[in-house]
Amino acid sequence: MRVLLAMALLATAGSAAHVRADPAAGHDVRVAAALPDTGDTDLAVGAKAAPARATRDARHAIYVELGGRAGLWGLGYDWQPHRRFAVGAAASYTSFDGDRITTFAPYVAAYPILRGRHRGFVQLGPTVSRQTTPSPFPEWDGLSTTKLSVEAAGGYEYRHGVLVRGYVMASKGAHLVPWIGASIGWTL
Amino acid sequence: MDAVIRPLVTLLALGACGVELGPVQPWEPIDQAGVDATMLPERSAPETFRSTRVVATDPVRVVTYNTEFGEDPEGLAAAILGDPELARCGIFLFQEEESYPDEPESRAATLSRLLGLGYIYIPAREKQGGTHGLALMSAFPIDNVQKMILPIADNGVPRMAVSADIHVGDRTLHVINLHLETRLNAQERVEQLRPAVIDAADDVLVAGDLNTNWVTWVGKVPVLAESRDQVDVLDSYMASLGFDAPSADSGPTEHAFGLEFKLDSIYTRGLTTTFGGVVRTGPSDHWPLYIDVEL
Repeated sequence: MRVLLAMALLATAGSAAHVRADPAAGHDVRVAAALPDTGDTDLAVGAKAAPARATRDARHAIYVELGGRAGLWGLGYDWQPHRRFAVGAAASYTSFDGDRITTFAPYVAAYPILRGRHRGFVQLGPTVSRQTTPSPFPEWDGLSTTKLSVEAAGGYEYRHGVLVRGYVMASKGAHLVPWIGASIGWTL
Repeated sequence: MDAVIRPLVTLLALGACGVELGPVQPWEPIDQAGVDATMLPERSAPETFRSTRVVATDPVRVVTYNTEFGEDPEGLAAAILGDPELARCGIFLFQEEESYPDEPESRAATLSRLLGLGYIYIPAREKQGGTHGLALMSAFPIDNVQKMILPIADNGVPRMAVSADIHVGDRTLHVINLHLETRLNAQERVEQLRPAVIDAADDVLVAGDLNTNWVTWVGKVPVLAESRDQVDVLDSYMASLGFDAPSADSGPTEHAFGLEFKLDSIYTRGLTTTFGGVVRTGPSDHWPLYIDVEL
């Protein structure tokens, strides 16, 4: 039965890797090409919706963040090779009172909760942060340090043309630090 | 795209909102004429600079301790005298001592009496009708006491350094006790510290609450920044002046809101030292940090 269902879907969706129903129809249900997903209940709903005006789903997203993985702010990109997984990165550069901070934070994300456009996600990844404190004095050369920490995050995501996220996270390096982030961007 | 550009411009503009530090002041004797009466230093009688208990003299043991406004002298004394290592200390550099006219005596006076040591209390600023400042307490005579008002951050309050000579028998230990502003980022912290140490004696111990947090200050708003510990920057700056950082591996010295910070440090130059430890006890949000110094 699953094979037949998959064949029907493939025939309908053609070569598109990801399709979804027209948002106007009220069904934003992603139909994954990946066969292991055929057991997902969303797929059955998608089978009904897919024939009508299917469009290519957005696998890519760019966003800006306030707070979040890259520190005070971030500019990020992520890519979803599978509806339940994504990889991405956020980066930032900040200059405060002479201190210059560059941060790069790649991550892998999983979506254990999928409700159409609304999702719950978890992210995990390292963060590399380089801080440079230039010296205003002749007796000192200033200091640049590069530090590595691990960050785990979890939160809510809305993805439908726009991308909106809100999440809490913990960063563990020399210290364990709670933090929050909010993102807004576009899916492409 | 405008929705992207605007926040980015705003964030980058925040980076330009630096804290301005005031002018550098000279070292001044604490007893200079013309000082407002409320800001005059307070000291115990010369004969009180001896110990009523056994203290370490060779090496001499030195403690730095932020007492959180000195609010609980009895609790502070109990914490110090209740720990066998701290109880052997003969020299204490305290920060955040206070004095109020509606209290029977200054909090430094109370604490010194409980510890059985002599004391000098030097106000840094007026606070709610009283004063807030630094104190030295010692089982040994103290002289040549001077103070320096550190460059004032426009988002903070007046901060001070106090230098003094402490005479242990025929040997002298020159100390600088200081308390830096909380709301400074790393480079500004170096700028505030520098005047107090740049021309210090060759052989000297510098200690205090340097407020070396791992926070990025956006104006007065603290943003936790796990990877940006200001201790690294101050240790580097002090090393450039020839200072050792014997307390570099002390671990946290302050706790607040479920987080721990290494805000307090001891630096030495021209001295042979052995790091003692951090005694994580007492009523203050800081913990006492101590070191042994061979003179």
